[in-house]
Amino acid sequence: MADVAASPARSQGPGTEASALIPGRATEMPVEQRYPLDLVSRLGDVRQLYLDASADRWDPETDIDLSGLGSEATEVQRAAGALVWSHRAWLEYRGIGESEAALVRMCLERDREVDIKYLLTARGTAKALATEACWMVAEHLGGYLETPGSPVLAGLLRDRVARRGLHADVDPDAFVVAHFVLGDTIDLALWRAALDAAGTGRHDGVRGLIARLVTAKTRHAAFGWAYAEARLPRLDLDQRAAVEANLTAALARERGGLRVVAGLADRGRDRFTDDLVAAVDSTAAAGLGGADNTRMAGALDEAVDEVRSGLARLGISLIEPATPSPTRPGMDPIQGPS
Amino acid sequence: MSSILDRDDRAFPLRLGPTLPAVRTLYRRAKRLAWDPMLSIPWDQFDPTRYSAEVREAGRLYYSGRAWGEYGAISESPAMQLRYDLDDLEPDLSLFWALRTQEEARHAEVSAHMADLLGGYLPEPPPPPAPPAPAATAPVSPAATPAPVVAATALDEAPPATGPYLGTRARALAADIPVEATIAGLVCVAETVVYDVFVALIRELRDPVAKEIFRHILRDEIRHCEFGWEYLTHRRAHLTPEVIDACRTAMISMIRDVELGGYRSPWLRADPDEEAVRLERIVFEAGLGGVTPEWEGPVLMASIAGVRERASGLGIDIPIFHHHLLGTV
Repeated sequence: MADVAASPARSQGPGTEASALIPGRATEMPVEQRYPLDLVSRLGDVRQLYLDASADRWDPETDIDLSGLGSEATEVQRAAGALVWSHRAWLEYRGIGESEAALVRMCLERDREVDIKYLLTARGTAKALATEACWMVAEHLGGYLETPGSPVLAGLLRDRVARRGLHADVDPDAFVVAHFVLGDTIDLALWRAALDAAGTGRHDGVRGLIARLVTAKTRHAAFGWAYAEARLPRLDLDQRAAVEANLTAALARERGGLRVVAGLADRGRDRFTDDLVAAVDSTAAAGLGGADNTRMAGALDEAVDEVRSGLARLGISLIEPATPSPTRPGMDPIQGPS
Repeated sequence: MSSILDRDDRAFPLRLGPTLPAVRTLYRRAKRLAWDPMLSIPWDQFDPTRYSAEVREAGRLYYSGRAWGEYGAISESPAMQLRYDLDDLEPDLSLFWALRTQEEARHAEVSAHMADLLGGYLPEPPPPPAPPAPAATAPVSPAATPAPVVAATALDEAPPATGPYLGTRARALAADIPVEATIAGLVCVAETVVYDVFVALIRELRDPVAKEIFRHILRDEIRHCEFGWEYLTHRRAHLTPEVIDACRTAMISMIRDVELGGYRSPWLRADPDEEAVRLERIVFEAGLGGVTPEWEGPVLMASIAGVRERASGLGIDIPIFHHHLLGTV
């Protein structure tokens, strides 16, 4: 059972990403001390993930065959599929900036192992390829959508992740654990659900694509956990508090519809998000690649439980947010005080 | 100086289709030409016994220095992707840059590994030589205080600005420095010069592993250079006089203060570290890498002339420089 819900004030405390978004505060960045520059591998697990990523080279344009995808679907089903894959493309593109911001931050911090930095460069590449691949599928199914028609969803997707990652007031471990443990574990779980969905297996090309993405996302989640296991035992009480508060805020984004749009509370739902929620079920049923809303919600819950128990072993609590919806700006644990 | 991170994130629309065909083409090539630092280089062919202890020692310093330089591209350049996004620029730039960042990691990795094979990667530059002890003379009057030593000046240009040179990360995140200017300096000058030097250098290499290292790096760097020139060409019609001037200033500074100032090649400095120059000569003569002044000088001059010509096509006028060793550049 989740701990008592965290208050929004806790989620904006020192070291949290929300503290970087307090209005009127200019961005301050840590100052790099580059030398001595340790380029020796120190984290064997992370090093192996980087080597695996380096060997896992592919090209969405040449390695994925989408011919025939959607040929048995109706026009309405294909349009729904295009909408779902567009949402995925927006998420993957967000992941590029997330990777690059984390990389810059890790280089600004003293004594972060080079394995982490190399791995983050590979993660950026993986996000670029995934972005392109999701865009291709959306285009194939009828056209990629450039704009989410929901301001709430757009706000979740464009949430100043670069500032969050680079602001000196944000604890770097709090940032990494929120994005690469919680975020990537959830991301992996959702794509695994997509891979396992019965309908996905009807088309070899889309199944192959999702399988490739699951392979990469397995590495991303593994990196997050390896980082957590290496770093969390070294944190003091204040740093742990920052990690926990930041996790709660990140969980609010996830529960609030970032990836599982059905999670948007009623006040965050509009015509567009209703269409997207319906499109998720339609896409799954039509075999256009993906799991339905019920499976996605289940995968999200299971991933959160997995993260909660895993972090508990490292002495970190994952506390449910008090207000999971991002539709109450005055109490927003993500965006800070309005 | 305000930061672009103070801005809100770019709004949608997010156009993921190819909107800059030339850059998209470079991204496509990057995907297809990706390589593995540990598997693509024939490391097992490296034979350290071919080299004396002196050559190996000089070589490990050289390749360690290469790794430091490439690491700068991992530490600083990713901020450019953040800039592209916050400036609402074409996502083609971000897709390309994400792959570029990993390519720079490969360059750092192979350079550090080569340093290891030569005797061990060094985590920091050796301390600079101690200045000579002052001679016992009469006190020097203030009027006789020597002027600051500079390696190069640009004819008809203001002297170099005082104060720290802003690195790429700082420039990328500075709201009042146009992104075109940062690309002009970083890519159209710095990366282009390095590319030209490496193209010439690879003909001098005799070690098979060193040759493969540089061949793979070059294969990436040609795309990095072309990215900069293609993007400025794309933007040319939209650049205001102020942005063109910022590009010009950035390029002049990169040529005069960084390249001709000896940041990359120590022999160019007004007060060179003679030991560092000597060690690079040892590496060059062993066919492992490095440069010598007599070899690199003409290559560098030709490269800068090429940059000047290409910049001229973009309406950016690069002046003639005078270097204390190279003369007119």
